[in-house]
Amino acid sequence: MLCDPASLPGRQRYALMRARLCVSAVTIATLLICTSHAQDRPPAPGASGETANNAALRRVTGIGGVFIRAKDPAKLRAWYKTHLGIDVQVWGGTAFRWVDAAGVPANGMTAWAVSNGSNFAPSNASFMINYRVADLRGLLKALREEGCEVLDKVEASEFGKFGWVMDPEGNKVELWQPPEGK
Amino acid sequence: MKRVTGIGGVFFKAKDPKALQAWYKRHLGIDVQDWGGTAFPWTDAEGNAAGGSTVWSIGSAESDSFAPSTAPFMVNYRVADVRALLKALREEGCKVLDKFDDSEFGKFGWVIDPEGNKVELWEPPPGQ
Repeated sequence: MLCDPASLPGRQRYALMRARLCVSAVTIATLLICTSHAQDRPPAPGASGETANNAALRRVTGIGGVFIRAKDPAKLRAWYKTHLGIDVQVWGGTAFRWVDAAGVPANGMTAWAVSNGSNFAPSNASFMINYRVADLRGLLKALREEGCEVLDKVEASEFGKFGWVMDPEGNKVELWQPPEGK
Repeated sequence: MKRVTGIGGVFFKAKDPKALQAWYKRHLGIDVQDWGGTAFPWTDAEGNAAGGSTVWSIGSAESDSFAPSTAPFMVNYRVADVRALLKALREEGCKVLDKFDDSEFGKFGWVIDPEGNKVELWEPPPGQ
């Protein structure tokens, strides 16, 4: 769907390499019904019609960011700046611009930051991933209907729209709809 | 020297990888492949694939793929010249792992950050 490996031989090769290197191959169980949370809630009214709408909904389209919790954020940032050459900004991270094959900045970017992780709450995981989405409100609505643990908080600013959902293992998932054209 | 130029991937572990992969597939629409993840192509303003990609996957908590780190995640960083970077990191006293991987998929090296996270350094094949 988002990425047809057949048309992306390099990426497919990389993916297979990853599988060989460090990911144990598994068979995906298709269409698992949400988590145990789903069983805790009554079915959404009009669920059948909404399911059809949800099926057409475009969800995650890319990785918008990766955030690392540190015991000593200032020290860890300094290490990444000194040794990995990451241009760590005062806010604790940087934005890596996507580039095309010629190295010219394309459009999107992937953010990276090291922090004390206070913004990962209620998760106590040591990382948080930001996922780019096309339609945040549509997705949050669908996730609620599907019984997922969507947080009440939503943010909208010049940086785009943000919402959050907890995955079944307690990781906070940040959903980000970038501003138009970003 | 040019060091890290971008995020090449993010990998994390799960107690129940199959169930978690299925959740991300169903609810977040991620096209999880049978190896446990997917590659998100970078796109231009029109949404067309631009050049690189960011790989994402969920692995087993039992796996030793992040060893010697015990962290539940690992980030892959794109670099321009991994051999030169590893040499510099060694000279700077960083904990560079001996293992090095060089194949059609690119070149890979690893270093441990001061909080024990395994850092994957990846020099993609030319043009990727």
